[in-house]
Amino acid sequence: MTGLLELKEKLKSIYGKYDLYINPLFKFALALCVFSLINGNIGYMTKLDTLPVVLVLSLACSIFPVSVMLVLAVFVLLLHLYALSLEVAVVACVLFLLIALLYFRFVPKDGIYALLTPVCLHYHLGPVMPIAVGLIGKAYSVLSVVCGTFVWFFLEGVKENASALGGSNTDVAAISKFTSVLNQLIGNKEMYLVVVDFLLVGVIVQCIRSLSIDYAWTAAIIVGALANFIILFAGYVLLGISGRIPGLVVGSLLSMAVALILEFLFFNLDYSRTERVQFEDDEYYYYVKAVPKMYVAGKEKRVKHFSSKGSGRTARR
Amino acid sequence: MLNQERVCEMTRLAIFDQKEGEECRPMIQYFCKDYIAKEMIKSMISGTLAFAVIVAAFLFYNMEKVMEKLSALDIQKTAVQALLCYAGFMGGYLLITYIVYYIRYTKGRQRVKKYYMHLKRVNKLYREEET
Repeated sequence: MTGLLELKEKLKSIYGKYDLYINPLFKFALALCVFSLINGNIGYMTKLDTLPVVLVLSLACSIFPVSVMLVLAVFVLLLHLYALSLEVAVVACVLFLLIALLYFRFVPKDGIYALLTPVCLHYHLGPVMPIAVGLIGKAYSVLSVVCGTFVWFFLEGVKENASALGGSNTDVAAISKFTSVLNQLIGNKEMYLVVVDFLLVGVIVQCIRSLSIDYAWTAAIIVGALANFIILFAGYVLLGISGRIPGLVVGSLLSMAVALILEFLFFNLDYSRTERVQFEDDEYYYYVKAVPKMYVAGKEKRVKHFSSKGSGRTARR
Repeated sequence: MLNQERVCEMTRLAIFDQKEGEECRPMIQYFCKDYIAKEMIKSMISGTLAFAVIVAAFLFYNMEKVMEKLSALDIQKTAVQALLCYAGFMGGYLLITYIVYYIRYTKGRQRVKKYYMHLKRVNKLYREEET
């Protein structure tokens, strides 16, 4: 544990020193991941599905705020969908427009959660998002996760039915394509299940982590992961969706591990040294509970220089 | 010589300017009612646009049924229903807007007050240095 705490302090000090370079690097890596995933899964426009384009877009994203990354990702998605079929691109445009008008009008800074959710869902780490947002974010930020979930399921549906959607372009076919694209979004029961699950998990985690109990974050993570497992398991059984259980088990365990890492990085308290004090003033009686953060000072290194001519010198670092 | 206390206060002010300054600017420029009214007008536009998009998607989705019923359509009744739906949708949307921006203004105003407190302290330190 001490070694981990030392590593954390070291990482903090490195981040403090080089945040000017680390932040753009993180954004570049995230953008690279997002654009590669988009191209890898729905790369219907061959001109965009090239490494130079991905690199240029990622580089642009590393300089600008995260909201620009979100806009660029939406733009690239729409171009790919347009290359597949105009109707699919129109439905996607309607979906993005509604999300922007109804939600991101109020909280434009929550775009990062909506961007990360499809990435996590792709790697079967979906529950990480509601748990992480419940721990770190505000209660309403779970809605960004829900927006990301809608987008991911929509894109999955498009990917699965790509051959049918990219067919003939007569007027009748256009209307039926439009209807089938909307159908796969509106009639997707699994999507509703995951949306309800994420909403509940986010709210549960948020409620438990704000309780005044010891190990509140750990309890929130465990209960959140368990709730996610139970809700999804029951939902899959009720809806008769098969083949998801192994992924659900692995995903829940991995999500819990990621959430515990987040706890270690952002909220690491030493409950063994909890102080409880009571005092009063004219109007109130105060019951104060103070929990110290876990902290390990970096090891002090003594470097001794030996030289044949002069006497030895020591230097502290 | 550098006044350490003043540098600390000025750093706090600079951090506020950089991080929250843009977000809190409307709380300095507008009264609460004006700020909320401005956001409500914006919401009227975005809400109407969202409603139009939803209606258009709904019509396209039910195109066949709409075409079948078009000849026997009671225009007045449909218009009243559409208006009621619009009023309900906008009522909910504007209520959310009011709550969100009222809370945001109240919190932002508190932060601005803190900012002014630090600003006053810096001014005081300047005056003390001059005398």
